[in-house]
Order: sequence, then C-alpha cells, then structure tokens
Amino acid sequence: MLFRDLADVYERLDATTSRLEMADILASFFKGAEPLDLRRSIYLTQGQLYPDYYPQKLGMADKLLIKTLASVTGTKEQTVQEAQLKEGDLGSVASHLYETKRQTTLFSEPLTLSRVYTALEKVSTSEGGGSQDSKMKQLADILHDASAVEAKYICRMVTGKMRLGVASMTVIDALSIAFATKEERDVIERAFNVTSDLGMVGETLSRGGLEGVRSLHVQVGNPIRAMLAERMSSPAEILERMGGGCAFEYKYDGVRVQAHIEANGVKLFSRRLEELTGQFPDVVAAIKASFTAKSAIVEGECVPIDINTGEFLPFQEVSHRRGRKHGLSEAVEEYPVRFCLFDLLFLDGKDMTDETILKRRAALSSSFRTTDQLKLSEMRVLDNEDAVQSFFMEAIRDGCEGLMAKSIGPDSVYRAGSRGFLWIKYKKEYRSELNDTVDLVVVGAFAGRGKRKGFYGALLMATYNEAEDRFETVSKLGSGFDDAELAEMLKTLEQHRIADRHHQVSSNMQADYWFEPAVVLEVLGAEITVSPIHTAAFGTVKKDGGLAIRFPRFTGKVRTDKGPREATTSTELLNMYRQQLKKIEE
Amino acid sequence: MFQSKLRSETLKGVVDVVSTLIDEAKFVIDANGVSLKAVDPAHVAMIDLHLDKAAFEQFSANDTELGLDLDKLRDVLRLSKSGDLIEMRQDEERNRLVISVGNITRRMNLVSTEGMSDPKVPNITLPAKLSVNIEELQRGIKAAESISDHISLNANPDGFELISEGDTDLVSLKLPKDLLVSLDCKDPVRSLYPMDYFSNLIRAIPAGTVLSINIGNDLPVRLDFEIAGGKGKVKYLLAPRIEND
Repeated sequence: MLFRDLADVYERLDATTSRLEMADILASFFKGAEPLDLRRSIYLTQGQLYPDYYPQKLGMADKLLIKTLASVTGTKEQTVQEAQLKEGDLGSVASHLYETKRQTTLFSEPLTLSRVYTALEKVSTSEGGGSQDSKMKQLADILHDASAVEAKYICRMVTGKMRLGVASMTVIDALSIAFATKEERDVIERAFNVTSDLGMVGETLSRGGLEGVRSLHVQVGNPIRAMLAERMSSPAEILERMGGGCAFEYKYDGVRVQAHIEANGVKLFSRRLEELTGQFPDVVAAIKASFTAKSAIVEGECVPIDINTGEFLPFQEVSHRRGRKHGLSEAVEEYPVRFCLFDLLFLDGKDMTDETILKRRAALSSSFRTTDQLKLSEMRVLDNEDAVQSFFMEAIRDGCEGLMAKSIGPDSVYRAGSRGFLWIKYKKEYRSELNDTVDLVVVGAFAGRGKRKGFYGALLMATYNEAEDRFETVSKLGSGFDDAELAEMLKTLEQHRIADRHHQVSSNMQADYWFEPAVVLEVLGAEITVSPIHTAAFGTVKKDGGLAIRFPRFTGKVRTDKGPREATTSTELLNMYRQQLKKIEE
Repeated sequence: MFQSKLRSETLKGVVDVVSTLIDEAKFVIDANGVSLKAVDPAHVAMIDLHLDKAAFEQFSANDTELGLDLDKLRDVLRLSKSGDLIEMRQDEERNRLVISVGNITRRMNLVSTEGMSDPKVPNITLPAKLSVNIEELQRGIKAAESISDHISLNANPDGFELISEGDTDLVSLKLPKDLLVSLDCKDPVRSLYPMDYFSNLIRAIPAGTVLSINIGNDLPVRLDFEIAGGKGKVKYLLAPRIEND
C-alpha cells in the first residue's frame, strides 16, 4: 500500500470532528487494506507503532526533527525553528516547507506504508552512541520521497504528536462497519478489551473474520483493559442498586496494578497499560516468592507504607519511584509498598474473567501466601447501611479513599475495559483540604523502626481544646525530619518525658512514650479527615469521630516561641475543616 | 587491503571536490583504483568519482572499503605542500587508516560505512553539450554569487550564458562559441540551479581543467571533468530548481 493513501485518509480525518464520519472514512480504508497494512495503519492512526502496552514509543525530539527537515529541504535550521515558533506544529511547518520548495531532488521513489513503518520503527529503537545520526538518516530517507501531505504526517508521527482524535472506540466502530454487522461490534470490542491490542484485532479480523476474533483470549503478558466502577454517594443508594447486599472492599489510595505471572517472569502494568515492572522490583520479588500458581493475572493496588507509623502514605509517595534509573533501590527501601490484591483474571491456563467475583476471590486467596507485602484486600459482604457506614469509617481510618461496592450476583463477571454498576465507588466522605500549616503539640511518641530504630519513629501530635483545657490528638507525625533534627528532637523531648499519659491529654491511642505537653512543632498536612481514633473536636462533625490531619509533614520549624496553649486549637481546626470541606463532585 | 603513495595535490583535488557535498565518504577500493559515489543529505547533487591506480605513485590493493572523515584528511593535507608524497595504509586489525607525510604519521579511526547509501547514478539524456575552461566560469561565478541564491545555465547554438538574477540586480556571463572549447547545441535550453552547490563545485575545481557541461530544459545538469592529470574522472549531477510562476 502506498503511504499516500493513508495520508489522504488522515487529511479527511483531520477535517472532521464527527465520530460517525471518522468511522466511515476509516472503514472504507480498512476494507481495501492488506491485513498487515491494516494492523500497522491502526497503530499509526493512534500515533503509535505498537499496542499501548509496549514500552517503545515514538517521540523524537523536536530539535532533531528540525535538523532533519532543514537538511532534507535545504532550509536553514533557524528558518525551520522560527516557523515552528509561529505555527507550533512541526507537521504543518514541514508541509509548508515542502509546498514552497522549488529545489528538486535527483531521485525519488514512491513511499509505501511498509517503508514508512519500518523507518519509524528504526527511529524509535535506535539508541546509544551515534543514534541521533542514525535516527536522522532513517527519517531523512523517507522524508526525501515524501510529498507535502506525507511529510506532514510523518513529522507528526515521529514526534508522537499525531493527535487525530481517533479513539479506540472509533476504530472498533470502523472495523465493525468494514468487516461485521452492528450487532457483532461487541465481539470486536471484547477482543480488544482482553488483548489491549487493536492492531492485532484488526489484522485477525481481516484475515480470519469474526470467527478469528472470537478465538482471541486472555493471555499472560497481554494486559487486560481494566474494569471500571460507577460512583454513588450513599450506602442506601448502593445497597438498593445492588439488590440489598453486596461485597464492600477498601478503596486503597495507591497505584492500580495488573500483574502477569508466569514461570519465566512477572510483568506489571498500570491502569493505562504502561509497563511498571521496573518501578516495583520489590513487588515483583514478593510475587515470585509467594505465588503458588504456575501462571496468573491478578489485580491489586500498590499502596505506599510508612514503615514508622505502619500507615498508608499518600500515593504520590510512589511517584518517587517514577522514571528512576539510579537510586531505585534506595527509593524502594524508603518508600516501601504493599500490594493489596483484589481480583484474579487468569489462573493456570484458565480465563477467569467469566467467573463470579466470589469465585475469583476464592481462587485468588488460595493462589498465594499472605505476607507483609502481599495481602488480600479488606472485603466484607454487607447488607445494611450502618454496617457499611462503619466499614467506611474503618477504611478512612486506615488511610483509604473509601469503599468499592461489588456486585456478587451470578452476573458479577470481570467486564474488561468497561465502566458499569457491577462495581460502585463510594468516596463521598468527610475529608477537607488543608492548605495551611498548623502548630501542634507533641504529646507522645512511637518506637522507631528501620532507619529510625532506637529513635522515635513517629510523634503523636495534638491540638489544644480551650474550653476543656485539654490536648486532643490529631495525627501521627513521621515525615519531614532529617537525621540531625531527629537527634536534636530526642534530646529536647527527653526533658519532658513522663511515665504515663499526661492527665490533660485525651488520647484513644496507646503511645510507646508519653510527654508533658510542651514542645510545639509546625506541621503541614494535606487534608483534614474524620477519624474514629483521634480525639480533636470529637463528636462535633460526626458523633463517633474526631478530626485527623492526614499526611502530616514537619516543616522543620520548632515553635519555641509558642507554649502548648498557644498551639492550634481544636476549634480552629474544626473551622478549617468546615471552611474547606471538599466537595466531592469530581 | 590498501597501501599507497600519492602526491599531495592529487589527494587535495579529490577532497576539495567531494567535501562540497558531504563530510564523510565511503571510498570503494579495488585492484584498479579508488571510486566513490556520494549524494548530499538533501539528495540535490551527487558525485561519481574514479581515481585510477595510475594516479598513485605506488598502489597495491584488493577489494576493500574505507569510511573517511574528510575534515581529518584536510588536516593532514595542511601539513603538506604541493609535490609532497603522502603515504596511506589500511590497518585492518584496528580498523584505521595510517597516513604519513614526511616524518609525521597520523592514525585515524575509520568511519562506519554502514549507513552510507550507494546511490544509483540516474540515467538522463541531456540535449546540449559544451565544454569550457574552468577559469572562465570561476570569474563569472565570483561576480554572480552575491546576487541571488540561484543561477540559470543557458545554451543556444551561438554560445553559453550564466545568469544570476536577484530582486534588484542581475549579473550575466556570456561566453560566445569562440570562447568555448566545444559546443553542441541545436535548440536553446535553460535550467535553474541552486547557487551554493554550483559555485562551491566550480571553485573546487583546479585551474587548467576543462569542464564539460551537459544541460537541458528543467533537467539536472551533468558536469564531467578530469582530475589527477587525466588519471581520474569526476561526474557531478545537480538537480534543478523549478522556476517561480
């Protein structure tokens, strides 16, 4: 197939925003394409060379493309650069350069799709010394023979900025128009959802028809598109929708991960199907050590843990690992994660996605040994509002975002890639953003672990209740200290150490060490939540809960200028909470 | 295997011409001599060069390829003066070229020839043919260079003309038939070419050379000339510009 034909299709796609029209344009093109060309054109149309989950991406640096364009069109680099500043998109720049180009070349051969695809492949895979030169050569080779329109799309492709706005669902529409009936569209979509490879689905369809597509199955190594949840705002609504009862599960605030486990290795994928294996070597090792199944695909949430407080950390902490090549092992040590498993999609050669959730979960729980790093998610089957509400409070206390309700009926299969009411999120919650620092009193401490062994691991912090002249706990503070500060803190606090809880401190927690309220620290928190454990402003927002500051961080400032009774009061905190109560409308 | 001795000016003649198009070149060597085919990155011009073994003072080789950085060769040439002997030897084990001028020896790593294409010389029939002493053209180019970024080559049965026309000025070099070495042209022809390519080449050709020019209407120009006292040949092709409407 000539590349010109595909470029013409892109021109027409670019000129419309109607999804129906896009599907029709693509469908007529798909009908006339050879199977392999069809596959490649699907990837290219979406600005890729391979399915989403392949790590190789197109993304040549603008600078390099500018250099190549300059040399191919015999223009000064600076001229190309200036044009880019004006027009933004290098594709349009290229197309104008080609249109105004008066210089002819000595040789030219028509571009085929296969030549363009192969050249782009070489550009995307070449790395190391001299790779810039070889990238430029590969690209120049196809640009020499390109027309203005072809050059436009080659430039957009190679920089990873296709942006035609053709969604996977539109491609599926087009495939079903070209090769099937409207009713059979579901078969194609299902094949995409379990393989995450639209190009392969297209090629299979054009080679083997719908029968071929029906025989595509879940495979270890091919990520499955994630099942998604709807959202509701009260337990009553959820229970009604679920027919009176269903499973409720902690909704962890972490990174959703799909793990593909085989004898020869483990691969981890994100919800967006990016490979994460390299970022979680600890999770990979934990899976290898604890899975008894020969092959499996499981889903869970990787949640960062504070080794000192034992509490979950905000999931952003995991981002410390993102894109790290050096120092990953330190990051793994400092920001350990727990993999909380909640689903099983494939087990020892068997596709489990058509089983009910309770069957899947039973199989999941017997497929591995529980360890500190690998646990089954917290789940309960509940059928009354109060029980749901109290389970919800437990989830919040444990640092989760809320609950996931999951249907347990006979239809509770794993619907890859679709959002529906089989799963419902319940996040509407008592949580408010804190944008300011607060001054909190140290009233207790917990013994340190890991690097902090022999020191205080986390401090128990309190606000001051003026009305009752008491100190009420709001938080366990474990981050923001450097080693020197920690040693200094130890000395200061030592002077205020007492054997038991101070009589003016109200705490439902049993600390390892107690102090008389004296030392005031400035603390930055991410949000204020309602907690059944902490005692600040207890009973004011909710009858069985107080206020808590989540994700507290010491700013480094010891408020020696403040006495304990000048610390932030419980009433102030309550006002902050009320003023900033987050509207969960997302 | 490749081992040779040649005069400094012979090597300079080759490097001057080839480096108007490319920075790195692939020299293909066999028992009869050295050849090179190269096209510039924009595919606008190409060179097809052959240097017979007779152009060397001493030459022994069997089939091999050398990827050379022309700037490095230029550095070596700066160390020599006309008439000096330059010795070149391929060190196959270390993938190097060992090159000596007098008592100075430079060992240079060879450039990978993997990505260098082997352009096919397009076969074009050009209706008009003329030849001229290079000095005549060099003078004309000097006058025309700053006027425009393109130059037109015109031939008719009476002579040959170079015209460079800019926004404000025009320079023309008119060479009537009697100032040409030869002229074979039935109908008038005219083509436009990029100035920089054309002038760079004309300036790189040593004085005393007779240049043969083959042209047509809006077709590539083919320039043929001899180097190394007739023991080497260069064929140069340059693609035309399309005229503005």
